[in-house]
Amino acid sequence: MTEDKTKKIKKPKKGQNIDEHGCIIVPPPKTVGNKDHFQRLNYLYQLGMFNTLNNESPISTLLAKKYVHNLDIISKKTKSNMLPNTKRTICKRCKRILIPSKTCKYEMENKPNKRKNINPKNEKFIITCKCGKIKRFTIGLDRNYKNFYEKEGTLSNVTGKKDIPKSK
Amino acid sequence: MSSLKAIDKRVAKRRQVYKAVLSNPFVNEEQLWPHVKDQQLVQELLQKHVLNKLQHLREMNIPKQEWPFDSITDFNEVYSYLSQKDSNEEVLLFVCNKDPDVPSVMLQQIPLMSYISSIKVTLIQLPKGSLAMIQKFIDLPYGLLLLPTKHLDPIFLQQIHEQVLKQDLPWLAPLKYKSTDIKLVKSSAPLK
Repeated sequence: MTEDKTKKIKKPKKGQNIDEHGCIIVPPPKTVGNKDHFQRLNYLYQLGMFNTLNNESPISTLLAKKYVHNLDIISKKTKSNMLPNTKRTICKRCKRILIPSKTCKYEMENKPNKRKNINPKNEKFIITCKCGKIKRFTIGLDRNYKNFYEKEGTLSNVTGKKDIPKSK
Repeated sequence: MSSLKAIDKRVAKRRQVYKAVLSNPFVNEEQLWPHVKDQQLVQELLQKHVLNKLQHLREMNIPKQEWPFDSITDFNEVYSYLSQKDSNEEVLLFVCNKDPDVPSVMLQQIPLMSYISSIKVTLIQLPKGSLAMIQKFIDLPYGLLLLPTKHLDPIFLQQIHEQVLKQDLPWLAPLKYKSTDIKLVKSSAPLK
């Protein structure tokens, strides 16, 4: 019994790097789990894009929407995250892929207040989908704003071998 | 002797973790913005052939309607100009994409916007610091300067076209399958 107890106690690992904020530094993994989900999402996104760009018939529009709808559900069920710059190209309501002057339109808006003064901090970048859904980005508050994923040093590439060989 | 804070920092409380995220297969910064051979030369050409003239016209108080060539700097006007249908016009679109104070959300839309447009757009990225330089001559609120080529100097146009490669988005025409681009997000989680 006494031997078992001594075994359970973990010894601190040698050569463990701790940064200034008390965080153990770990090297990035060489492979990624549930890669097949990511590949499925990638394929669905590209199918959606293909059907939106190359054909404007109602059937292909519906197909594109269906593919992107599936993509949305799969990413949520499997907890496979997508980068914000990918998600921003999808309408949350109708699941269209947002392409300028085809499925959406862009606008820069800065409405005057009650005293008819224009405040530069209220400047908004607006993306309006064909279905009427509006995305607003308040760019006036901080023009240099970068989200967490856009900051330097946050993203890194997977160093392991790729599953799908490049097509010649 | 070391402070209590320093001792506290030596004890690990958190651990670095990596999460996989799917990147956009159609966002490749290197390919989105067409390559410019000599950016400084392009900047100098722009200053010599366009900006100096614009400043001179402004100083002379000549109304904008009488200017020899158009210049569009407002985003909404640029967007409406590029979304014209069945137009055989050609335009130059100068973008200060490396400068601060140009919103990144807006910048991300410009390459696709110019590529989809039925107008022939030559997208030109300017070097860092060019926004401040251009703002000495004209007001540039969004770092965009659109110049219709109709009344521009043909020598200037030729020199610009020599410096800028054609915008090529190989995944859009015709649409090709791109292999999955998975990135790792570096974050931290508390130790159990």
